[in-house]
Amino acid sequence: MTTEEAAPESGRAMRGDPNVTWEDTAKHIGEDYSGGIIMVADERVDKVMISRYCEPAEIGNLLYWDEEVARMAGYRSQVVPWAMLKEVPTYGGNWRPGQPTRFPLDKEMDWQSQLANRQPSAGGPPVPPTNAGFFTDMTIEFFEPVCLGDRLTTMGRVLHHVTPRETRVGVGAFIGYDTSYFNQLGQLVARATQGTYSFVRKDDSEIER
Amino acid sequence: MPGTYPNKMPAYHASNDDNTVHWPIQPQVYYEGVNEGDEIPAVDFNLTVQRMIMFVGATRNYPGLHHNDRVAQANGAERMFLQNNSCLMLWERVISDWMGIYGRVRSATFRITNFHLSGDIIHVGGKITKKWQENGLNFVELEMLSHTPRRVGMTGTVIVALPSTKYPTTTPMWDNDGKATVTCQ
Repeated sequence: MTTEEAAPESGRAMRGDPNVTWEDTAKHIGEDYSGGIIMVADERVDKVMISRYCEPAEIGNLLYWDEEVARMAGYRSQVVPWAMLKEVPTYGGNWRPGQPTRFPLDKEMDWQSQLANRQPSAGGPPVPPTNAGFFTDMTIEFFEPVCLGDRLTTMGRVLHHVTPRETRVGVGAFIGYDTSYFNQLGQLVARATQGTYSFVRKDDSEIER
Repeated sequence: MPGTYPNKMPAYHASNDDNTVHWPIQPQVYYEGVNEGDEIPAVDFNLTVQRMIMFVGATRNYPGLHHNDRVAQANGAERMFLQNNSCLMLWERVISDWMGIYGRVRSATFRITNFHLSGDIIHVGGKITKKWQENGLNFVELEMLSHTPRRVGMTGTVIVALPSTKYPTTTPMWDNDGKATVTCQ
């Protein structure tokens, strides 16, 4: 989900514990829900990955296109766009030899296959019942630049904030988790806090469009 | 027709393993040359269906919401819409093309408030709201806005470290505490 206008997953099944409040959830701020999983990217950053990334938005900064320009500007090699850092490398890929097909023959054409995993995750804090949720916001801090040939490692899923709030689409809480990204030398390259809104959706007639 | 097909690559191409094309370097922005209140060049993005699919491929982020109208509609959207990182890519274009090869983004914060739908023209612009020096670095804060045809689609701020005219070819670098590791001021 991407915006406040997004609807919940079909079926709107309630998930959560009716005996838990958002205040209870907030008591777990600072706890890590990555399960200690350290995700090393399958792919090293390569030229094609960068240029394919730049093409749709037509990003023309030459640091991303020309290795000589990047070296002249003081980088180790061609640079990864800052907005790309979190998204492009995958962990486990979308399919690998020996794995079963992700597209079984009995599935209809709009069926959604579970593809690449991008964030270490092992459960979460106790939460009250909700039946909807979507991405809301993100803050990313950048440190060491990411360059051609780098392989990223993702670590941590630390509960950062829990802010209960009623919005025009429902009643719930804004929840954020911190994740850190490192290069193959163990240098911190970025730290991101990604926020979602988990809520009980209001009836469609109550939602102000 | 036998004999008319090329069967040997010209020597120049066969030996040319550096296929880098060299383009002209964009103009550089310096800390001393910008002021609070300045606007950076805005860009209008036409989100054709073909371009939406390019965004999906570029980020390798394949939920149907972002490339399939039926799936998007079943989830409450009018039609397919950009994934959050693809929305950020629009800002990357506007900011990175402006800050030049010696500028670096220190941090970005954003919030999506409206779908970026296929068929939309998204207007992305930014304004310098703050300019300061800290920990040996030269910073500007950009207030960024993406407008969909309906309303504001994404808001936030991006902090950019700029080079100074005193060290015009030094790219700002910093450590885990945000302190400059090269001389920029």
